[in-house]
Amino acid sequence: MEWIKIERPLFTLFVALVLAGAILTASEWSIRASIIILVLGAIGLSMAVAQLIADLKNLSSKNTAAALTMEAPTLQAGRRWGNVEIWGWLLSFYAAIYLIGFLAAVPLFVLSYTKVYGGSWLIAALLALTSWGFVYSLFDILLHVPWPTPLLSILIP
Amino acid sequence: MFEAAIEGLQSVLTFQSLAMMLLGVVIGSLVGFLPGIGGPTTLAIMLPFVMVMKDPVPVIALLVGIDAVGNTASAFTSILISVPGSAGSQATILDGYPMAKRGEAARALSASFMASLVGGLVGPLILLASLPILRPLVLAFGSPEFFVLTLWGLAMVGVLSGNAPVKGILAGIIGVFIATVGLDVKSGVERFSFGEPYLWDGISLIIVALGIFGVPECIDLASQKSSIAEKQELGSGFKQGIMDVFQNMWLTVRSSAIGIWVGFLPGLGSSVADWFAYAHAVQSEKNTENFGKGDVRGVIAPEASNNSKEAGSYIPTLAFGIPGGTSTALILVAFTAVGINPGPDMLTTQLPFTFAIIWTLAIANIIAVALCMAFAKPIAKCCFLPFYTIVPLILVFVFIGAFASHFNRYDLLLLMVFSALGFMMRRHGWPRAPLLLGVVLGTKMELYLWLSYTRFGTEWLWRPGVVILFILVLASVLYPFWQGQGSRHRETI
Amino acid sequence: MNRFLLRNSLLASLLCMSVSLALDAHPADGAAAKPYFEGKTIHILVSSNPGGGTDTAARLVSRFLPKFIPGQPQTVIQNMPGGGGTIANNYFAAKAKPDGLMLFQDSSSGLGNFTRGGSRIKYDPRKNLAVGSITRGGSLMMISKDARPRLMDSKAKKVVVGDSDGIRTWVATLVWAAEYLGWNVRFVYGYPGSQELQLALRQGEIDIWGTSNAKLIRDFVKEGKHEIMFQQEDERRPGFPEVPTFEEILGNKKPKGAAWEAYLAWSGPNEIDKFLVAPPGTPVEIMASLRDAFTKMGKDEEFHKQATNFFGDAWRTRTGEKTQTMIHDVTTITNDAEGFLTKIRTKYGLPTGEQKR
Repeated sequence: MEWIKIERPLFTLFVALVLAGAILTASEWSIRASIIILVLGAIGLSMAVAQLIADLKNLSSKNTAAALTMEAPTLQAGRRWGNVEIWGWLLSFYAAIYLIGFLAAVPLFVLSYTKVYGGSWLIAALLALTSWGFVYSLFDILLHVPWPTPLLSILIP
Repeated sequence: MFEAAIEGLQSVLTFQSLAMMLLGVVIGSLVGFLPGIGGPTTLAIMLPFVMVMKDPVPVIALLVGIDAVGNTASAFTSILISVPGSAGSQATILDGYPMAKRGEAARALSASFMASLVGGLVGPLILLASLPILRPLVLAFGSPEFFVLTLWGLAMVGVLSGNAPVKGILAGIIGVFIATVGLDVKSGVERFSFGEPYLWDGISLIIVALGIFGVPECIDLASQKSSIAEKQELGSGFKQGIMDVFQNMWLTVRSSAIGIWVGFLPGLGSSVADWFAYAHAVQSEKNTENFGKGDVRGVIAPEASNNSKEAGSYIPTLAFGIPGGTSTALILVAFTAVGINPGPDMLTTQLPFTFAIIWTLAIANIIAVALCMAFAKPIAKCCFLPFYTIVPLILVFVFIGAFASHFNRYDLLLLMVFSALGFMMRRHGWPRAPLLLGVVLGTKMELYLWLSYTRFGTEWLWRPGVVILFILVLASVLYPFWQGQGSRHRETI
Repeated sequence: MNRFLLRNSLLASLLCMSVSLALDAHPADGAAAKPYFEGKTIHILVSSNPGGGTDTAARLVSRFLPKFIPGQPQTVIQNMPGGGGTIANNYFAAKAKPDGLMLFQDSSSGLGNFTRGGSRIKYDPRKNLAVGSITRGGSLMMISKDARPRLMDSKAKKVVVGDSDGIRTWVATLVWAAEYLGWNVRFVYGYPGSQELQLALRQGEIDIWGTSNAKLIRDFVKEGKHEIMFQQEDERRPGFPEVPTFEEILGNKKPKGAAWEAYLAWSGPNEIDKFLVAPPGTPVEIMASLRDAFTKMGKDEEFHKQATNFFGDAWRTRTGEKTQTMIHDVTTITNDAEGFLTKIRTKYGLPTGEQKR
């Protein structure tokens, strides 16, 4: 069975759990604050369960266009590695921002991504420089942003 | 009044004012382009310079110029890279981006600019026409009426869910829950903030929009290793786009009307005008199977309305000196500094200033559209660039946008969370537009219902305004059924 | 080549960091020929979004204060909104160095949050050193003429007081009026902001509203449907000499003891309004020049004009020393008074400030 078919009901389950969690948290509040969560949450939870059942039924059926009007297209099951790769880059960029700060992470990211996937040194350098310049002039010069301290700055005296 | 109009026009047509307007348009366009860095941030930067100027009219030209055009240029990013350049151009993504993928970017762009032009002219026109009834108009809308309007917004969820209504409604509900995060003013309870002061003010819409719409499409590009346009030709789309607007002029005007209508309601306006117009187009047009797949009308409607809404947000300002949104609030600060007294005087002793504002709105829009048209073709070529140049730039762009709202790293964390959510939703066919709508409208609906009930008990249900609006909402929901069109064949967005 | 560029950009950011660190270094001697502030930049942290009242005050200060500081430093505004001022307060408490180059413009809500407490409050405003404050004047209470007759008639429909979050300092006056003068009011709160409240007042959705914005009040009065009931001030504002103060209205019904202490605790912070502070430990000479400059600024003619443009005519500045004392006064509250406050807030359906935090 394709992974994507398993993933689908899992995601619906996730949504249902989030709704349930919200209802539980909200039940401790005063009624003024909680009523909208309780009402919509109850409606949502029942719909999520219905959707979950539909997804599970679809698991066993061979035909993706099963008689469930609750389905919708847009599946691209084959690109799993491509997805993992880009998520890796995203998370690394985010980590870089935390570790060495926005100003350094931006050119680093742009440079490495462009180079790794086939750009020439010139293009990569140019793009890195432009993006760094943009971030610097906008945030530092114009907006005087109080930059959060990067984690690794402790190592730099 | 006629003399005031001429006086206003003359003051705006001076060299200094026009130069200021041009500056404002350029700044506003650049800013509209960039997600997250919106009107308020720019205006805040401009404030120190502006507060020392002596002559009010160039100040009007500059600030109103910046404010009026942010929504025109934001179409660039929405159409080309599926990143909402400003809150007003989210709906444009739904059809604009698919058009870019088909190689029709130039057509989408010129259509959006032309529609923006119409919206930007119709807006001030309607504003002008309603000057006499401005005050009663603003006064007619109390909490109950606002509530019914938010209901109308919720009816859109059904429309935007395409052929997956259950998932669409669920997405909408999740959106409402996201909006409830933060301090609930009416009860003093901090909802879902888990003790973090960062979350007290709630989750910012732009981060949700960037994460849900901007990043997943970029991920797609990266994992497919393709450029944006799947076909390598620009086509003669540019002229076609302009023709499209003329062929759909009635839709364009209707969308502009919706924009100004929604824009004038304080607090409701900026982020919903484009959704309302889009959904209205889906509901009222024929042959809607292609909406969500690259129907040019799906670009025209939101773009017309997001320009006219700017004129709308000046209505409460001109009527009572009440700002229609954050940008207008900042503009009012500047006005006060240079001696313009926002308030009832604007319709009496300061009428020439009022006209200067209206003229600036119109002229700035014309200049902005001309600028954007000039740059449309060259910028559209970026659709053909290889993904390894585009992807990192888009991501940096998006991260900047997320960071720029509060300069807080938590925003980036949230961005990742919403990117993951948007990615999963797209992967499994969950409509994303209703989620955004839920975020925008959810708490407002809750608040106005609460205020209506606390203040009026159940009497508010019988107010004439409420009844009329309710009938209108019902009509707009039932209209497609009456016309014999269902939503069976539309793509999930 | 990429390493070169990478190192370059790293170096660039390092350079920036070290330059700012160098700038922050302590001055060598106080009696130098060059004034301490010359060539330096003061960063003013602001606890609100651009355009709000606190921000406007900060911008005024940033424009005019340097004129009176020897050395005429540059000033730069850094907005850090969030959590009703908590985020900025926490940041300032944690990061600000006592060198006079980072100041903080806060408003009374920062004090209010501190008094209410909670685990996320990581600052103590009493430790900061006040440079000065701008108060925009007390609030004036407006009531619609139609509703006024119902105010003293307990059998009529209750008069509606509207507010955003129910904890504004002027709300205290109406609560005490209801309790001790028998006013027939009820409170509806939750309105998103003053725009909506103004609209609601005009439409008759609410009957009573308080604001310190003199211009706004005059506009309302001019339109004829509303009138001013009283003002929340020590003495009558020069712009409104005919309007009685709240204490005048209370007269001899004014309560004593915990009941009055509680009132002061609730309404007090408003008196301070927008205040500018330096971090604890700032050297005495620097504080002296800052405070002195602030006082001089308050008398400057151009500053006067702009402040009146924005705040109406009842604003005044207070010295750093006075501000410091007031901050201390309003953040101290006895247990009895606190208990009373909770009780009376609950009685009128207002938030008590003891939610889960």
